Amino acid sequence: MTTLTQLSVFLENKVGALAGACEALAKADVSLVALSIAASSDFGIARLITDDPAKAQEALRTAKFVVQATPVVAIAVPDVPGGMAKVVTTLSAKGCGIEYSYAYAGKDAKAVLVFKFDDLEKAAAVITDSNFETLG
Amino acid sequence: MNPISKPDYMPVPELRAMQLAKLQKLIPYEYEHVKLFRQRCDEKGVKPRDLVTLKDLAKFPFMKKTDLRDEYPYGLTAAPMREINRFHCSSGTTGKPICIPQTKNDVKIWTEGVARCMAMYGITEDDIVQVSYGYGLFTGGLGAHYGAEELGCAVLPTGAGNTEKQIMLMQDLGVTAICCTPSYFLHLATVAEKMGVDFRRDTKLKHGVFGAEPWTDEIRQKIEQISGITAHDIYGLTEIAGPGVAGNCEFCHGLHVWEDHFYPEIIDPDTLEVLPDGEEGELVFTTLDRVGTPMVRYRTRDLSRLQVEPCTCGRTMRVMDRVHARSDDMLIIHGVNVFPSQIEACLMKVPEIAPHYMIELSSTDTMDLFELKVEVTAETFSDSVEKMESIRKRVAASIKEIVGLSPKIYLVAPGTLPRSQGKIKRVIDNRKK
Ligand SMILES: [Zn+2]
Repeated sequence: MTTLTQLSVFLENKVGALAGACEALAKADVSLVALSIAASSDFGIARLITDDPAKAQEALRTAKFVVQATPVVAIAVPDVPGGMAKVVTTLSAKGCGIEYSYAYAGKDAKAVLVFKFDDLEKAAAVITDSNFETLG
Repeated sequence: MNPISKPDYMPVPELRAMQLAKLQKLIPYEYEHVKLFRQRCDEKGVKPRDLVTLKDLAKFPFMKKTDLRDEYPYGLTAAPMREINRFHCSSGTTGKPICIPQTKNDVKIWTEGVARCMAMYGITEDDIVQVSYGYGLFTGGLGAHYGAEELGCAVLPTGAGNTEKQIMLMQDLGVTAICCTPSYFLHLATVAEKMGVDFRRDTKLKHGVFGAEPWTDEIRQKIEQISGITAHDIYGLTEIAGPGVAGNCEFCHGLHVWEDHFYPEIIDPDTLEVLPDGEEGELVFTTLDRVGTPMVRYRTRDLSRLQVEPCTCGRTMRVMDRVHARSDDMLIIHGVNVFPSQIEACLMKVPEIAPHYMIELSSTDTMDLFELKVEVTAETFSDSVEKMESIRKRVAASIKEIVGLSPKIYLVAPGTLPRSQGKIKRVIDNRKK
């Protein structure tokens, strides 16, 4: 199983905070593959998958953003009814706690599910046993 | 013991006799040379000869900062210009500045005060002292500079600002003591961390001489914990001299006042009655030796207490409580008295928060809005909303418990709240008056 490096960025709840982060990435010539935002009433956390996490992290730090790198698992599933359900059901049945997840459209008519697990090692064993396709 | 510290241990009867003798010289001098003082004494029907015992000082009128503004620039100057050797001014936030002309001997006494503080902290001629207070009209820079030189230290006059270079010089030259505001030191520590500089590993810094703004015990502990240095408290104000009026000894229960030069009283700020030692009130100083711009019963607005118990260290000079609040700093929010230092103490209880904050007050037609911005730190930032919310909840709970109010708390990114190189501004009050 492989993992991806997701970058989490702290966003103050003010106009332009997200735009500023995106701009910093664009300037560094980094492409955004997926973006998910978790928000509270007055701050947000942007979770980013990029084509070059190291460069992205450097660019965001230079632009004075607080950034944290987190290993996440990206599973590619056929973009057909029941494709995602199968992955989630299997993981839940084996007791893998999911802290959060989000999805994006991948290549070759596949959807990509991104997971942050409570226990990465335990999830890795289940994923390997189930022959799920991971990106990384 | 450094000979400069000898007066610290003067027997009390000798000290009281000396204070009385100096006051009996000062009061007639002030009466003769300062019109405002003379007018006020006459209005009260008190004459210089009425000063028979130390207690009689209470019969004489107070001076306030507004007097210095109203009489700007020379109204309270007692010495002729040919004897004036130095000016210090403080801008204040509104209107006219205040100006304190002083003679060569005035500067010498002030210098002695700073040097005695530093000697008390254990700083010696072997130390390399970096002065990161601002130089110029502000008394911090030159006060610390003269004091450290008097003690025979090697002085590095960096002034405030250009923080990265300061850290570089501190490492390269082997600086062992730094003088600055506590908030500037915290800023310095943040920059050092970004540069990968660890005070314990990469510098020889042992002493911090901090003053010019009220600070709490929690800030002191934080400074000592992040840097491994000993944080010393130096107290003073431009109107009286500058830093070096009082400082803490190794027992740290408060600050010894150099009362052979600066006579302290504590008054009730409402009734203006003198309070006995042991009670908290407003600190008032009379300069016993200054002749340029002497101050008689100058109201500092600082809240403190003169301790009753003699200090374990053996110094006879009375100990004042650390000034944690200035009566001017008190905010009234929803009818509750709040000092910014209380908010600071609350934040110190939540380790995930940087010790930088901003209180913002505004008002609608019917109520006050109390908002508090606090910085998260890069180390504790988590990608989980729940964890970040829990930090905010703990800040809220801590403030609710200590202050009894529930401000709206905003988490902001590290480094976004203003840092100061002189005195820091922690409150923005936009309420309709
Ligand atoms: Zn002592």
